[in-house]
Amino acid sequence: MSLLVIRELSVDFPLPEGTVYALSGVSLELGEEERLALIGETGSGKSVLAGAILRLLPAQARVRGEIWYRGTNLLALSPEEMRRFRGSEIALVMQNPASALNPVLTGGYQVREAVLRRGRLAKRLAQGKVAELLARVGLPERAASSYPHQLSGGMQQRLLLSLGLALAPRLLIADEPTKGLDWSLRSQIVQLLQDITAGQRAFILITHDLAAARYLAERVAVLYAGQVVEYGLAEDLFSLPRHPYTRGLFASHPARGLKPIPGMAPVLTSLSRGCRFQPRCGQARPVCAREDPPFVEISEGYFVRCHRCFR
Amino acid sequence: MLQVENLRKYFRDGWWGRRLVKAVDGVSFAIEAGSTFGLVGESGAGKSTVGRLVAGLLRPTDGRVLFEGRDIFKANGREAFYLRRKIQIIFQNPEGALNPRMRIGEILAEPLLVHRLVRGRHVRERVGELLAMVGLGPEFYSRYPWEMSGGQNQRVVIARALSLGPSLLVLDEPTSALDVSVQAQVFQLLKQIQNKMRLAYLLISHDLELVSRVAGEVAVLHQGRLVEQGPAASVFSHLCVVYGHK
Repeated sequence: MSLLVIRELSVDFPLPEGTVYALSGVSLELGEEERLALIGETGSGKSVLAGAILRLLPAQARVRGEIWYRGTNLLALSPEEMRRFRGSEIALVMQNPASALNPVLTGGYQVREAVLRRGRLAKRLAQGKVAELLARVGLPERAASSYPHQLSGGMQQRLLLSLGLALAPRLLIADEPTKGLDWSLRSQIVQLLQDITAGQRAFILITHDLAAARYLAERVAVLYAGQVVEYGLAEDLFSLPRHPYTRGLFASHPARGLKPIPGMAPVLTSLSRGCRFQPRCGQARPVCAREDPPFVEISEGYFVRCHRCFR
Repeated sequence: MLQVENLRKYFRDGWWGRRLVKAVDGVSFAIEAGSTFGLVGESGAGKSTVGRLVAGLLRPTDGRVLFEGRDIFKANGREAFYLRRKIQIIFQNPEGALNPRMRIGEILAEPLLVHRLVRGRHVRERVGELLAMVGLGPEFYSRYPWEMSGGQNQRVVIARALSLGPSLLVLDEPTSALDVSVQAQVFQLLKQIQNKMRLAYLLISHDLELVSRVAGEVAVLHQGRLVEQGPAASVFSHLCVVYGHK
């Protein structure tokens, strides 16, 4: 059974300058204990998707579609009902630990606050739980009495992950957990993510880091300009990407050639008809500019949004 | 073209400066004209300090930086003015390097005017050429940095550095704030410029894959000292063993 089913999710932000179409028609599924990587570049809508699942988007956001979590449509819940899901069912580890942590509270205080959030745990037991969580993410005991600025970037990221784990959520969402870390720290954090997710909970990894996505996730969704353009098993997607954008993105990685994709991602306020990648695509045909490509299952469980892939 | 000899930079840190931090502790290397030299290391290894010393933004505690045989920290007057033109630095965050209250055209004209390289009506012409060199159209002339993407801004920063006709660019994590596909575009541009103008690059980065792809010669910095140096291919095959490449 699926833990999370997202159907035709669209998010737009009406702004004075024009409406920003941040997500358009996103459909994804996540099984119990399945791990999904969302990859895409700045402005592709990755973080908006996380915000939509947890209903943490700004008030002016217009959200359409359905997000089913274990049989409940999260988008239909009242704010009070939604609050019961945050942290204990679905936890979000925000981007950029330096700004996500409270700078005037110690690490231990912040973890304790999260642990006591549901009121299920007696206060006298909280201390032990805090120590356990810090140990779980590989932080030394002194982190409990340190302020965030006294911790290194890697330690801050660990602390933030311990907050995410505080209420043992069934689904953990991590937004760019390896961003800004150098290579040895990066592999430590990836290893930690593996330890706290594999076989224990469902996980959505939002990242630019292809190596981390490949290592941590069973399934991958590639976002471009607010749409999922390719979605399937990680091993298939990494060994044979089908969408021209995915191919271009892979080829632009230093390890795979450092070959750029020409042009720029479209501005999300003025989207024209047709495929959103078409102006940058080397294989575009006349139909690509005329019609929106449908999101088609080309083999079992493998979806691509491209005219070229199935005609 | 550039020689760095036994460079040291110590900082005082802690309460009343009681702690001595040896950020750079005896570093030597040389860069040939038209080549790319990669400097890699973990956060805090001293990479950026080396970059700032080479660009003349910091004075060393000890050691020398020789540009075409001349010590950049002993030069004064006209010579110092000339050396500042020939060595330029590009930082990680292009938004922080561009004045948000100036238009792109003004940003690119400023160094030309300060160094009196171009005058009067030719300034605008030259700025147009610089924009074209980094693949930006003339419509960018009157834009502000905040109206542009990170990749476009980094192109402006590159254009500004090129405006003074440098021989060496210090690239301090030039693309780590950018998306990978934009990173690839920026490096394609840097490569074209290097071939055309015979520029040398000192590329500072913690991205080993990037440096191995771009640099000819590589040095590895660890706690202020060079622990390894040589052609990229041989350094990286060895590094993979040391760091257990993921």
